[in-house]
Amino acid sequence: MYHLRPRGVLACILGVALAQGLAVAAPATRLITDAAGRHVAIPENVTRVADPWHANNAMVLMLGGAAKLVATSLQAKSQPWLRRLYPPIEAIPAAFNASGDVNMETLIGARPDVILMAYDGSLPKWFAAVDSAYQIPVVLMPNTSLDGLKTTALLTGEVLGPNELGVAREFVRYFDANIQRVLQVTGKLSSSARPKVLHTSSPGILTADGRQTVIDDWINIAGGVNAATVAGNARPVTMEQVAAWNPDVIIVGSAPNPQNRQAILDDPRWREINAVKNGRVFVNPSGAYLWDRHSAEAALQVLWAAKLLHPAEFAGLDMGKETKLFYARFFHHELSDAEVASILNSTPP
Amino acid sequence: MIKPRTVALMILLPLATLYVSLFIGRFAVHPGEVAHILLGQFLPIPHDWPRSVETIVLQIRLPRAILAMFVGAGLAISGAAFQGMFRNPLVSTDILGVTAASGFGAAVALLLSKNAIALQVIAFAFGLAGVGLTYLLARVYRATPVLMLVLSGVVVAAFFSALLSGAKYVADPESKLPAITYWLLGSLNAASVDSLKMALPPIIAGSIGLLCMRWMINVLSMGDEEARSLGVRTEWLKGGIVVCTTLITAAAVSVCGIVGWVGLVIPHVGRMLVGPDHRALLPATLSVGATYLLCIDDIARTASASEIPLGILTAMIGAPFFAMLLRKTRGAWE
Amino acid sequence: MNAPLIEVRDAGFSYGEHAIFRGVDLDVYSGEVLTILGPNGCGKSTLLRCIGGALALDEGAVRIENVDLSSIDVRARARKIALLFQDHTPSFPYPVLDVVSMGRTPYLSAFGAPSSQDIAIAEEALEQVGMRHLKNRPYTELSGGERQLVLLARTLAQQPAVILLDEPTAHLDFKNQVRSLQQIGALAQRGATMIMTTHDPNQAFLFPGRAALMRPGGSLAVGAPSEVITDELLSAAYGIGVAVLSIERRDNLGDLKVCTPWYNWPHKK
Repeated sequence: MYHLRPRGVLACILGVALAQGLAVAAPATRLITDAAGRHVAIPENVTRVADPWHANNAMVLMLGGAAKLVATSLQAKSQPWLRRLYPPIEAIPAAFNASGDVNMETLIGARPDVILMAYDGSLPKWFAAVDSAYQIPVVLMPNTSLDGLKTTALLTGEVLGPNELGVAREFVRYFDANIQRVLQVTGKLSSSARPKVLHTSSPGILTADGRQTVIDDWINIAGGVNAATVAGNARPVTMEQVAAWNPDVIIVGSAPNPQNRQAILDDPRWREINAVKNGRVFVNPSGAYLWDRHSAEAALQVLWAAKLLHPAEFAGLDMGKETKLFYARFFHHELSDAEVASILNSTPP
Repeated sequence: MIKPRTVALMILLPLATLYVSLFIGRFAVHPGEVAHILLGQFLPIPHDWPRSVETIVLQIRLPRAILAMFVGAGLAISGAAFQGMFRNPLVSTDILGVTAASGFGAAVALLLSKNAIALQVIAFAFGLAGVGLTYLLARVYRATPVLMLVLSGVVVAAFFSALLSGAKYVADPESKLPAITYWLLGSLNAASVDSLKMALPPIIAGSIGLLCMRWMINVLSMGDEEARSLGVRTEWLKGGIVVCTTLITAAAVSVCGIVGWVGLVIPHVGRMLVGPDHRALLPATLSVGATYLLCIDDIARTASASEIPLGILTAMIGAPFFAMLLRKTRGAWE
Repeated sequence: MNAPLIEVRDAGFSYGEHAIFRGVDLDVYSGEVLTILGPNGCGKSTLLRCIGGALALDEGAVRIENVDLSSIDVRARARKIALLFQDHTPSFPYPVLDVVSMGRTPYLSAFGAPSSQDIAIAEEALEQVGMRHLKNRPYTELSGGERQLVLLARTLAQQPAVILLDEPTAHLDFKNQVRSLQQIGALAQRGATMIMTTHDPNQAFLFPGRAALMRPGGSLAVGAPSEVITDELLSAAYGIGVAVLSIERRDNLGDLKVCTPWYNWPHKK
């Protein structure tokens, strides 16, 4: 039989009281359901955000949460328009690089409350370490469709806070309105009236962006059909496959610039392609990020693409005006005419 | 020495494969149409074929096929010359570091968004520089012993590989990084008449140089000391072989990325067909190498809508073939 | 006496700090077989290589047919001197005739290949050593002795003024040693000039010509074999006692001299 020693009992009572006290002092959390179906617990009040997803940094800026950025990726820091719109990004440490590697010390040193990351079905390389060893919450967001882009905007807003969420909702309304504006015309088009569109990278390496991508989505919305029958982003294809597809319109994306467009026009191998014969080769605009990829400016991309593919039906659409309005409303930046031109032609500011 | 039948085969097979390559592909062209188009370049017959087909055959397929043949032939003869010079059946053209250096040059060109021709020039220059560095490192008392060449080549290749990794590290993952990765896997994607004009002269010059040295390579393969006792200026000969193979390999890598296993395996096939005498072997490797890479490239661009990188195909076919060779010969030469 | 074919004057060679031999003087006359003997490490192979031009002397000079060896290029040298190395590792399975044809390389231009005339000379050389019937066999398939003879034929195809042989019987079995020596003897009979290193003093007795006993440090005792292969000189050089015996040949072709060591067995207890 055991004696209840008075000193032992006192120790137990104190221990329990301490634990309760600690629980009360711990910060409040909320649960977010991310794109991978995970329930992630993040602080009630998020003040420090790490965003290794370079495309999403512009989104964070647009939603008004840029001041909360404490760690980003190397690529995001080198986007010319992002630097122009948000100069303090220079000082933000780049804890992530292109191959998906993370500098753990930099990341931990930045003490983020949460990490925002793209999710295409597979987890990033550093996920296991960050999630289990360091227990920093990671919110995964979709990146393979325009609908996913809207979800990303809302999720990002939700993570950042009520103000940002409000902006996100406003953005999604704007985006949907643009899509509706376009679909009203293009929704009625027959398949024969839809030009075949090839979205490619620079001729240095010939690639095509195919089905089940963001690009495929906006091509369809804008009233075209994707000439590339492959699936996925940036699939390498042969010149003669391109000749077999024979697109009506070529859009130079990924590394969009006037030189790459000119290279296609000058190259004898492209001579007999419909798009080249009819002079319908274009450079995709790029601003805070590439418009044609998973960017906030995708809202402008659908307008631009629709006007490109069906100029007659969208004669009243003024891309310069639309761009200025968007930047003023969401980036709080007044664009000069020269800046608008540089965005639409994809030249650096 | 070589049967006339074998000679005839060595000349006809590449030409026949070339003709077939012109009408197979994802864009359907009739064999007869190809014949008409080709003849129509020289003879005054009416041009009754669509211009798009003509572009496919003459601007897209023909330069690519010719490039495949020359690259295959060049890599094969270089591999054979190296195996003779180093007296080692496992030697390939990469041994002096030209591939790693060229690869890095191409990565730099892609990072700087250079067009295809500038990329070729830069990759070629880096390839030459890499081998030059190896050669300088290997010089011992005015001679370059074979062992020193091999070791220096390893060092230089490792160095440029590290630089290449650095280039991939800073590359933009949306556009530049996939371009570099894809280029490194090897592809004749960018073949055009311009790239032909750039790549062919060094490959032809190097191959002619090696052909001139065929007999001397036989003697050199007896060992440096013995070759010298037989009156061969071994340092000049080795230098000449290195210059020729480097010209060829740097040009090949600059135009189609890293295509391995050709320089390693084709010389063995050549020896199985015509024997080890380099007087017969070197011309044979030209023919076999040309046919081989042309067939592989046909598969690369036809098998699926998305192009299969050459380097993957040559490895998938070359490695098992080499394994079979090893089993059959049990490690011996013949 | 005629002027010597080869004159070695004050020759010295060192590997780094370690001097192999110094102050070596040697004359070799046309038509003789000079046998160089000496214990392992005395430098006889090195000396041979220096005479042949495979290694460059640190001191002194070698003159052949009145021309300083260091002043002529590799090709000219190869037309005067042929070397038979003991450490030959075969590489590719070339046909025997091709291997012998390599002996004609000193007479070819930089980008040349053997002409039909060169190949005829190579075949003739094979005939001389009795190996012509194997001319199309891959030489990697030959036995050690047969390969030795093929390489000997190659030196003949070079048509040199002198042939240098570095321990030609070193890796051969008994039968092939005899075969090899008989070939060398046949060449000597036809007036070939040869310098041969060997570790077997008996070989010096087989051929017309002198012997040179090399002692550590490089001093040479040169003379007729019977003068050099004596108990005093050999025991001083090798540290062993020998007896030189004369064996009468039944067919009256002269005596055969044989040198055999005195073995010291431990006393039976």
